[in-house]
Amino acid sequence: MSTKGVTPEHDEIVSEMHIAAPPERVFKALTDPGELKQWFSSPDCPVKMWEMDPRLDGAYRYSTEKGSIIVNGVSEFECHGHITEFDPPRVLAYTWYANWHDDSTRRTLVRWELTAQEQGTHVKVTHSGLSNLPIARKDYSGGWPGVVEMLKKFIEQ
Amino acid sequence: MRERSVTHSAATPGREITFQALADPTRRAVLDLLRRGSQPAGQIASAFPVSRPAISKHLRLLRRAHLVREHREGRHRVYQLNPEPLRAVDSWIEQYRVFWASSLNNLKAFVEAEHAREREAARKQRKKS
Repeated sequence: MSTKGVTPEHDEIVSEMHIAAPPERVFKALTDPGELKQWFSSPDCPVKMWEMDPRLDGAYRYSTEKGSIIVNGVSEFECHGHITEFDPPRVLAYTWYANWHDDSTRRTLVRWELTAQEQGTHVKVTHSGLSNLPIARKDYSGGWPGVVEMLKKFIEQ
Repeated sequence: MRERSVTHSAATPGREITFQALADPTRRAVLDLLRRGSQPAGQIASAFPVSRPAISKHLRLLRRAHLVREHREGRHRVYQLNPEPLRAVDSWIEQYRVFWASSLNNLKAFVEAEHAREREAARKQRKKS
């Protein structure tokens, strides 16, 4: 198990692990709502509901019961998004909008990469966009005024 | 409108303005540059292929987010890195480090147990037939 932490862009975290089962088996656990509900759950954060439509552009959503963890004042967690890459059993990526983010409309991206290995699968999960804002990215190509718009939006909300 | 944004920026929550400042690749590159030491605005501008006014605006935003400090040395405005606000960002990202590490542990335990159970079931099935 290794968690490499933040890249130089302060923007993504990468976690990797070996699992002693073939990629097909791991991919099923990543896309089957019944299985997701089981392994995504923890005593601190019991999963109440996990839904996923496992195909490109398919939506997913999960929510938890009130647990013992509080993030940004939130203790019942809800997260949703849609699948942006679906290549079984190698790649699964989805957008990740979470109610415990400072800005729950912030687009972040979770990408799973599975590589067959002797005795199993190398699993790599990358969560990116953690310091990013969609408007800022768009504005980078369009110049400064949009950034001011974004700042204005922050201030006025 | 820009000036109004400047006046009201104090009302923006600290971490949001930090994220916003970090969301731009040029501004991140400016911070990386200042890690090597304080620099006058002119020197910072010459390190980037964008216009001088554009760099000034980036620096202003970084200053508003308290990621850089500015002081005058003669005719120069000198910029210095202030990494303090990055702590708030780091503690936020830290939650995800823990989250994915523990999720991967759960996934591993679940898949390996299921896989072993399925293999065992298949083995028994083969024996029977």
